[in-house]
Amino acid sequence: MLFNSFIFFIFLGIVLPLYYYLPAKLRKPLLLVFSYIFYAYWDWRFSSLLFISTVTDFFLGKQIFNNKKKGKYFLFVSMVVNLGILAFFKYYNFFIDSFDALATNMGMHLDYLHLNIILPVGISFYTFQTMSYTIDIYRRKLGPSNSFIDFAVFVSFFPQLVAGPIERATNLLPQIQNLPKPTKLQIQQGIVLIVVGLFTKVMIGDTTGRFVDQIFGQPSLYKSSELLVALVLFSIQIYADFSGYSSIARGVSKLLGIELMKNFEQPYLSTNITEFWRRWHISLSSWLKDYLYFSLGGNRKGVKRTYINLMITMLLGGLWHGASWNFVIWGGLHGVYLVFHKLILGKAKPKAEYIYDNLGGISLLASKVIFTYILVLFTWLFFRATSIETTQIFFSKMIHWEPSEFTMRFLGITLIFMMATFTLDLLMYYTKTHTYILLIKNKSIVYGILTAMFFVTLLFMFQSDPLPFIYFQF
Amino acid sequence: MHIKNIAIYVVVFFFTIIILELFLQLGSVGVLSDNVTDTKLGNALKPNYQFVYFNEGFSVGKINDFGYYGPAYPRINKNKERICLLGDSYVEGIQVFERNHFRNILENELNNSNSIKYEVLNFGRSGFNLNNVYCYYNLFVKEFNPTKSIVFISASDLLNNETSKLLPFAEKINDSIYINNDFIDYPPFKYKQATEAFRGKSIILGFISKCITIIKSGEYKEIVFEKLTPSNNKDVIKDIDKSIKMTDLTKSIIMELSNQNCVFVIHRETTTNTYDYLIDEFVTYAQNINIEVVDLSPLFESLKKNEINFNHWGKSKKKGHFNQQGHKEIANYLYNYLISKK
Repeated sequence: MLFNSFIFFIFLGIVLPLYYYLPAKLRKPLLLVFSYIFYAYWDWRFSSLLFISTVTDFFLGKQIFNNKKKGKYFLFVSMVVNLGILAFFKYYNFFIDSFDALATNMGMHLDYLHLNIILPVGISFYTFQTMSYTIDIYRRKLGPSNSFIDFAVFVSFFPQLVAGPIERATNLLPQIQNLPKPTKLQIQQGIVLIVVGLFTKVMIGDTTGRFVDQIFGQPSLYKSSELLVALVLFSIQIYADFSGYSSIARGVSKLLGIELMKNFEQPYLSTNITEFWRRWHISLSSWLKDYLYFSLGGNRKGVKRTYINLMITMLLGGLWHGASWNFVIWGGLHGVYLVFHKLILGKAKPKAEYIYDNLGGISLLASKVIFTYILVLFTWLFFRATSIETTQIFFSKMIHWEPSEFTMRFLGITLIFMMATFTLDLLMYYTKTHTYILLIKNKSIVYGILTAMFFVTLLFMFQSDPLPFIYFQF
Repeated sequence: MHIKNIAIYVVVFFFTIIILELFLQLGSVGVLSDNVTDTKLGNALKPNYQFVYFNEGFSVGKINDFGYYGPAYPRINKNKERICLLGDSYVEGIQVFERNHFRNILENELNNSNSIKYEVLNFGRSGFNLNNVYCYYNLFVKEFNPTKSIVFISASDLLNNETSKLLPFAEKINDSIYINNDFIDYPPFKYKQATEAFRGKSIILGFISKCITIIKSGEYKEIVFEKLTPSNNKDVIKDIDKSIKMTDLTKSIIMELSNQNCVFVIHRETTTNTYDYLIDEFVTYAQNINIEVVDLSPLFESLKKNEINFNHWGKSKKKGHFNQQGHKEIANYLYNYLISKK
């Protein structure tokens, strides 16, 4: 069930009172049962995959910990099982179709190997999450869980099961083992995150998405400026959609007394591409850094190898998003950007904090932010385009520019959404918190703002078709 | 203190609502009312109204200064061949951009191939039946001095002559057709007029109104409970009452419009074919009294045979109004017809 749906609020309305009023020892089984109900709502058949992944890594985790010498082999088995399931459901047809395209040129056909496979929701997320568990045990960062229920709740925890954040066992497992009741502050923060997240996802993400889906669906029908506007609106849509969803996930978790990691930290305010990847989809980028990049050697094996490791990480990161060459190109482009940035920086490390205290400095900051945004915007084309043909049409229309009678209308609409997103981001940036509304001392003002936002969002949800969350397809 | 807090809450709540209303309007998130009350037409399109439409298709457009769709050709016809299009939402065609509408394509084709210049005007109105079209033509469209008018008809237009009480309607009195404008004294119309200043000006109020409609119709169950809602066999097709025939009024309207240089374009329902026998009755009647009829059925059959999609919307997965390809095909078909008649 989608977070932006009424059935989810009904679900939450059942889970939360039970969670608060049941005895402590029953809270974990309750979470486990309702997490599986949440997942089974999509398609009950795939609950079995979730269970297989849970059982496999629970027992393999113990074996990895107890067998110092043979731990590597048990880890390997864990990787094979997890990645095998992911590879089959997500990438089997991609590779068959790619090989078929090559084989056709040689007069052979492999299309008979194509299968009708349904991609289980959230498989990319929970697979990475369980893999982090076994890898951290192998690296001796974590001991195995002795309670199967604790581990099962860790894997299936419904607020972050289908779309992240991809949690680390070192963060989430201890919280699940203790499962405290939420504090008053957590409940307040949780409500704020849910309301603001829902507003962001529905009123910014879904509304921009309507334009994007139509224009990218039939790009040949639209003029050049309209396509460009659609790309900018997509950059807003994907950010609002994903960050809104992550915000709701964090908010719901807080209502259960659990702290999840932040997944976004105002990425479009980044001054360079390296900073962008510290602010965008943080749970994935940090996972790739810790478990792939560092495993390949990171920057410890020379400059050339560092760049190769970076490229491999970003290419695979692109592939994680979807079984399509478009995503590989997207990841590859970001890899190139990161390599270039490292080249420019040389041995210097990027500054963590920049001080801009005069007009010249502010202008420099603004131009860095805009330049970084443009670099990222270009890659979004490959991320969103459903086919190479769409990309070709886009480029063709940029080169052979066709003016549109609606350029100013579209620009006006885009500006409004940019301002809305920018305002929310600036508030988070300068207050250094996602629950900035709670900084207002007078709680009547807080309640007034939140209830108005929630009311309008619910009205919109009630009378329009919800757009699915973009990252569900991953 | 308690009352003070409540007051602060209420003020902040409504202030936030106003900010959000601004955001919704500037971001074209919702739609405002596109019509205004009119003492002659009952319900006219709001001049200069800008819209963003999302349903089957997607379009951005504007109602012109004179209160119809497309370029703003004034009432005075400067010696051009002027063709007026009349009909319901299939003619209105706001599912597509104006540049993809068959009005625009037809006009360009006519002007590119003729020394005489053409103006094609779109007077399509969503929900209008033949009775409404007749009134609209006589009360408004005629002011634009059409050389020829093309009236689109489907089976539902021939079904009955019932019309909204908020609009003028044609009635037959002693073999003549009169346009009844009793709607002016109808209390709901007066209420609409009196509240015009603020009605339809708020997207949020529009949301509330739509939500109330959804709740009253019972559709809220599917929205709230999704797949947990038991199905209610919506697709049961009701039996057709084939005793329903074209009324005398309908026949008189057809005759009168034909006498005013109107050509009828018939299209059989593209989603259902329940009352299409009335189209056959109309065709027979038209042949008997020698009026011009253009039948789009051969065109649609040919398109279906060649698997050319003309009314299916891929993005929204809906089927109904003509898509961009449909508009192109209709424009070409009408162009060939008009050229053949010259």
